[in-house]
Amino acid sequence: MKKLILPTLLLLCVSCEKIFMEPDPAGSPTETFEYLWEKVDRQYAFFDVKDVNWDSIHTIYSARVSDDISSDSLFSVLASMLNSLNDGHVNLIGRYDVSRSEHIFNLMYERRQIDINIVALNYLTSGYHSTGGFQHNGIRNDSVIYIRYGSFSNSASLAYLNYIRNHYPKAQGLILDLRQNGGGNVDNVWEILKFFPRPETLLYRTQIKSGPNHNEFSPLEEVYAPRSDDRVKPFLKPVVVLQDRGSYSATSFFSLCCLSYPTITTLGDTTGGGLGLPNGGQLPNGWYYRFSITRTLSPDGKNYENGVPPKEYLALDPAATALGKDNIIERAADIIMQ
Amino acid sequence: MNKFLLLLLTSFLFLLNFNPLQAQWTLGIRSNIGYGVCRDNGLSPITFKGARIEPGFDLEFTSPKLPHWHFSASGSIDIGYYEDATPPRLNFSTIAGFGLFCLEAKRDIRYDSLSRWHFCGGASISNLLWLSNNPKLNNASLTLSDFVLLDASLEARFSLSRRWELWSLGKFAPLGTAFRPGFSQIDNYTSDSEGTTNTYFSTYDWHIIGPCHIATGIGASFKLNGGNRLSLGYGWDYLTSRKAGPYKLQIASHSFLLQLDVRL
Repeated sequence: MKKLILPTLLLLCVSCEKIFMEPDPAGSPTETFEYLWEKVDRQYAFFDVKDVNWDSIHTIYSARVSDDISSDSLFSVLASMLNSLNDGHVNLIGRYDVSRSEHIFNLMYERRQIDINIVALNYLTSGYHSTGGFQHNGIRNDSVIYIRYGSFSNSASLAYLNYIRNHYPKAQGLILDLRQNGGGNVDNVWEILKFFPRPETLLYRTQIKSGPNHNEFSPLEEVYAPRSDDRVKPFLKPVVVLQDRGSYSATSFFSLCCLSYPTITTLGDTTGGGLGLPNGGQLPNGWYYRFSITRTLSPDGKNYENGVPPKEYLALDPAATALGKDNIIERAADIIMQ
Repeated sequence: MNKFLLLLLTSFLFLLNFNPLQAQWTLGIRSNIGYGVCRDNGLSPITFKGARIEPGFDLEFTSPKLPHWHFSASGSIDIGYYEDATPPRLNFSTIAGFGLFCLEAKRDIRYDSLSRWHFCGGASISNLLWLSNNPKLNNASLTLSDFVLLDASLEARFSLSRRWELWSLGKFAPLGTAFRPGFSQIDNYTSDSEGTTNTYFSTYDWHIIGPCHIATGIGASFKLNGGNRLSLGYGWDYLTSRKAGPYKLQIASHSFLLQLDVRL
C-alpha cells in the first residue's frame, strides 16, 4: 500500500492542470471550419476593400462541411472559402498541400509585363554582373544602369548599390526592374531606399486589426523614409522602377514608398497588392493558416491593397518583344536620358 | 531602468555594509527542472507539452529589529521546448519561456521555538514576462505576454529533527494584470520573410484579470553548517491570462527543485 502512495501522489500532481485547462478541441471538420471562419471574421484586415460578405460565405461553405467529410475535401472547402478573399497573403497549409489565391495567381501570369528571355538575352546578356541579390549591366553604352531584382528575399544592401553605382561612372540614371518580384523581406525595402535618401518624408501609415468588428483597427502609425548612411553618397540621379501585377507584397510596399520620391518614376502596370502583414495560427485539426492582419494606407489615405498604380502606365508590347526589345525598359531608359 | 538597478544595487550594498537593521541575508541559488504544459489560443487551440528548466535565485532578508518578518527578492529565467501534445497532428513545436521577478514579504503566523510546526503567511508582487517563438509557424513568430501578479502565500514547516525539515507552500493570486503587445509575426511557409518593423510593439492590449495564478510545493530541507541549507522539492504552478481580449494563455509547470541557501 505504501508503495502506491508516492506514484498516486505524483499522478495527481501531474494531472492538476487538467482541472483548469480546457480540453483540446476534437479537431472535427465542422469544428475546424467554424474555428477558421471565426478567426478570419475577427482578425482579417481587408473586408472593406475585398468587398466580401463573410456571413454569406459562412452560409455557402458551412453547408459543404460535415463531420464525415474526407480530409482532402475539407481542405478543398476551406481553401475555396479563403479564396473568396482574393488575397495572396491568405493560405491554408495542410499536411500535404498548400492553398493559394487563384485571383492573385492568375493576375500574376495573365498580366505579366516581362519576357524573361528578352531581358536575359538582350539586356542583362551573358556578361551581366551579380552583386548580392542584384543582377545588373549597363545599357545604352553604360549611360543607364539596368538592375534586375527578382525577389526581396535576395540580399540587398547599400554597399551593393554603391558598388553598382561606382561600376558605371558614366551612368545618368538607374532602372530597377521589380516585375514579377513576389516580395520577401521588407527590411530590404529600407536598405534600398537608403540609397535614395529623402528624410522626413511620410511614406505610408499602417495599423493592426485590433478588435472583433471588421472596422476595428489600432491607431495609425506613420512610417517615414529611412535616413541615409553617411558613408555612402546618395544617388540623386533619376530612377525608374518597373512593376507589374506580379510585383507583390514587399514589392508593393516599395512601389508605394516610391510614390513619395520625386526622383523615382514607377513604370508599368499596377502591382499585385499585398500591403497587409500576414499572420498565422493553427487549426484544431493541426493545419495552419495565415491571412493579413494589418493594413497600409498611402499618405493621402488610400488603401492600395489591391495594387499600387504606377506613375506611368505602360504594357509590354508584343511587337517590340518580337524584335527582341522590351519596350518598358526602353521607355525607362528614355525617361532617364531626357 | 539602469538607474533603478543602480539604486537597488547601491541600497543592497549599503544595507550589507552598514547594516543598520542588523540584517541577515541569505542567498538561495536554485534550479527547477521539469515539464510544462501551455496553450496560447491566440495562435493554436492545441495543448503543447515539453521539458523545461528554470534556474533562479532568492535573496532573503531578516532582521531582529523586525521580528517575525521575512523579505525576499527573487528572479528566474525559464526555458522550455514544447511540442504538440496530441499526435498525429502536424509536428508543431515552440520554444517558450519566461523571466520572473518577485518581491515578497512574509510574517510568521505561528512561530514557537519549542514547537515542531511553523506557519507563515505573506504577500508578493511579481512580474512574469512570457515569450514564445514558433519557428514552424509562418517561418517564425513571436508572441509576448506580460503578467503582474498579486499573490497571497501560506507556508508550513515541520521539523523532523535538528537537521531535517519538511515544508509545504501555497500561493494564490486573486488579482493580476495581463498585457500583450500586438501580433509580431513574420511571413509565411516559404523561405522568405516579411518585416515586422511596424507591427512589433505597436498595439497594446492589457486587462485586469481575476484569479489567475495558483502554485503549490512540497519538499524537504537539510540544514547545513553555518546556517546554510539544502532543499529538495516538487512544485506545481498554473497561470492563466483568463479570457483577456482575443486570446487566452494558460501555462502549467511541474518542477523538481534543488536549492542551496547560503547565509551571507
